[in-house]
Amino acid sequence: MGTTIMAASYDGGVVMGADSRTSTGSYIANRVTDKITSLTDSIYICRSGSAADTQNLSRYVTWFLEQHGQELGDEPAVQTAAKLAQMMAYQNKNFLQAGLIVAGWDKQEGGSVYAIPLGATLVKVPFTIGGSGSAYIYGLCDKLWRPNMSEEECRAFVIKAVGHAMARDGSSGGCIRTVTISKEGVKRTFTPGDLVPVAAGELPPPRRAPPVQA
Amino acid sequence: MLEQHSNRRTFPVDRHAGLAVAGVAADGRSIVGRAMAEANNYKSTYGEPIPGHVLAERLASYVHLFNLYWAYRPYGVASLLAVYAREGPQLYLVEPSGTMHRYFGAAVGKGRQGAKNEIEKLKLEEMTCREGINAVAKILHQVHDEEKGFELELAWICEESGKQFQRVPQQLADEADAAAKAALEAEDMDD
Amino acid sequence: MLPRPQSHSAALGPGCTGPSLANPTPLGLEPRPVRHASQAPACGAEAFVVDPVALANGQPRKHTQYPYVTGTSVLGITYKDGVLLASDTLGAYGSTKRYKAFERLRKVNDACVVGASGELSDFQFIMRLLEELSDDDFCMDDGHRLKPAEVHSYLTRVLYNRRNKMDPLWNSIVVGGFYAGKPFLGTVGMIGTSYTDAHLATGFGNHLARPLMREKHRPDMSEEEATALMHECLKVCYYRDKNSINRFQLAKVTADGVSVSEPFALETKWGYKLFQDPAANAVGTW
Repeated sequence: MGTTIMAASYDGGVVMGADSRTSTGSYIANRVTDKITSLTDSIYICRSGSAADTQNLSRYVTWFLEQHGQELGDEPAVQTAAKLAQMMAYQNKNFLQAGLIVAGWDKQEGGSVYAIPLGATLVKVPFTIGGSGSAYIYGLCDKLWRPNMSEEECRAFVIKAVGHAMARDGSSGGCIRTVTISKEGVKRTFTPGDLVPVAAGELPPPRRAPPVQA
Repeated sequence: MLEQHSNRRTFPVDRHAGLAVAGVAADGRSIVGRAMAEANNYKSTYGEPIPGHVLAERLASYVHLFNLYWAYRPYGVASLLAVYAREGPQLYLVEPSGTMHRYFGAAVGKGRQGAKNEIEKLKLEEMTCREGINAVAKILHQVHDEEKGFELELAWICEESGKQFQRVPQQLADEADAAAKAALEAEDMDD
Repeated sequence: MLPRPQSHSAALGPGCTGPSLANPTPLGLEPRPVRHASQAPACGAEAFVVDPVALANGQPRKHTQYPYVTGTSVLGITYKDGVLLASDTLGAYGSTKRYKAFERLRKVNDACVVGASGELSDFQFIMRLLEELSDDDFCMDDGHRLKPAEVHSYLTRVLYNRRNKMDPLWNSIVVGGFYAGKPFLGTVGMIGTSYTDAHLATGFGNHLARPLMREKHRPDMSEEEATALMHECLKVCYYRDKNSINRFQLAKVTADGVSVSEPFALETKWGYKLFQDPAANAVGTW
C-alpha cells in the first residue's frame, strides 16, 4: 500500500491526514480508501505498508484496548495504545510490513502523536509523516510545522503537505482525509480528488458540474 | 533473638506501590511476589505504572481463586496496598476472601479493631504525611502489648519520597517512635 | 487473552520470550526415532533439548533481520573521577535523518548508564529488560543495585544468547559506570563480543574517534580535559560520519551519581581559505 500518512499536534489536540489510494501493482484497487482507522473513541491510527497486516494489527490493538478500558474503568491513554501497537509490531517484525502512526487525545497528556516505523521503534514526536509519499515532503513539513498552531492552521498544514506528496508520489493519490481529535471530540474532513490543491506543473481540473438533484 | 528487620511486614512491589501484610508471613511474601509480577507485567504491556485499583483488583481475584477448590486453602493474610500513581495516593485493603475495598484509613491484624477506633479520630484530610507517621506510630504502640515488645516498621509513598516507596528515614522513624511513647505515657499520667 | 510478555524464558535463556519450561516439541506425542542405547542417557531420561523446529512454528526460519531505525557511534572515556559517554541524538531511517531528538544515552541506576548504536527498537527492548532488573532490585529492598560490571556482563549474555537463536539484537552497546571508587567502561556487540577498556567507541567512532583517544587520553584526566577530548571526538565524528547530526548528549557517571546533559551543539570550523577555493594550489579537485 503506497501511501502518504501524517499526524501533527496543535494546541489542543492532533490532526491526522492521509491520501486514499490503494494499489495492486500499477492498478489502483481502491481510490477512496480510509487509511485512518479508529482504535478507541479518541485514539486513531494511520496505516501504511501491507493493508492486510495493518488492518489485522489495528483490530488486535482495538480489542486489547477494549479489554484494557474495561479493567481501567476509563478511556485508555494514547501512550498505551501506541505501546500495544508497537509491541505487536516488534514481536512479529519478521512477518509484518507495517508503518504506523498512533495519535489521539487523552485527559492526562492532551493530544499526542507516536510514530512506529518499520522496525517498530516507538517515538513520541510533535509531528510525523509516513508512507512512500512522505519522502517528497520532508522539507516542506520541516518548513511549515510550528508549535502551538490553531486547529484550522494545523489542518491546513496537513492538507497542504499530503497534497504535495500526492502530486509527486505515484503511489499516493485520490482524496485527502483528515481526522482531528481534541477535547471536544473527533472531526473528519474529506477533500475529494478534484478539489485537492493543484501543484506546480499540473492543470486544475475543469470546474465541477453543479450537483444533480435527485 | 531475631535479627532486626529480618521479619518485615511492609514490602515494595513497584517503584510507586507497597504492600503491608498481616497474618501468615509466608503467605504474605507469596502475595508480594504476585503483586510484583502483576506490576511488572502491566508496565511491560501498557508502558506505564499499574494504577492502584487495577493492582488491587488483580490481587483480589488472585487470592479469591484459593477459596474455590477443595485442594487449596485460602490465603492466611490480609494486605494493605498503598499506591501513588496518576490518580494520586490510594489505599486498598485486600482480604483472603477476595474482597477489595478502598479506604482513607485501614488496619489489619490482631489489633485492628482498636487501631480502627483510633484512626477514626484522626482528621486524615488535614494531615501531612509526616504527621501521619507520628499518628501511625502512636496507634501501633497503643494496640501492642507493652511487655511483649514489637518492631515498629514505617514506610511511606509521598511527595517527600518522590512518590516512591521508601522506608521512613531512620531519624524520622526514631522521632515518631519517641513521640508516640511520650504521648502515651503522658496520657497514662492523666488517667 | 492479553499478551503477557515474559522476557527471560527458562528454556530459551536471557532476552528471549517463549516457554518457561523446556517443551521439546508439540509433536512430542509422536513416536520418536529409535536411538541406539549408547546415545541415550543411562538414566533413561530425555536430554534437555529444545527442538528448533518447534520454535520456528512450522515456518522457514529467518536467519537475519535488518536494522531500520538506527543510531550511529557512541563514545566513552574514563577519567580521574568517573566516566563520560557521548553520542548524538539521531534516529536515522536508512540514510534519512528522521528522528532528531532520540535519546540514546540512558540511565540504568545511580552507578550506571548505557548508550546504544544500531537498531533503536532493539535498544528500547533492552532498556525494558534493564528497567525490569532495576525495578526488581528496588523491590528486593536490600540496598543492593546492579553494578556496572554486572550490567555489562548481563548484556553480554543477552546479546550472545539472541545471536545463538539466529535472532540477534542489532546493537553495539557501551556501558559506563562508577563503582567502588573505580570507573567502568565496557562494550557489547550484536553477537555478544565484549571487552572493557579505558576508552571506547562503537561503529564509525572506532575509526574516527579512537585514534584521537589513543593519542590524548590519560586515565587521570580532569573532568574539563575529558569533556574537551569528548567534544573533539564528537566533532570529528560529525565531520566525517554522514549519519550524524550536530546535536549531542553527554552522560557523566561519578561517585555522585549519573547525569545526562541537555542536548547541545558544537562549534564547527569551515572558515579555511582553501575550503573556499580548493583549486588554488591544485589543478583538479573534488
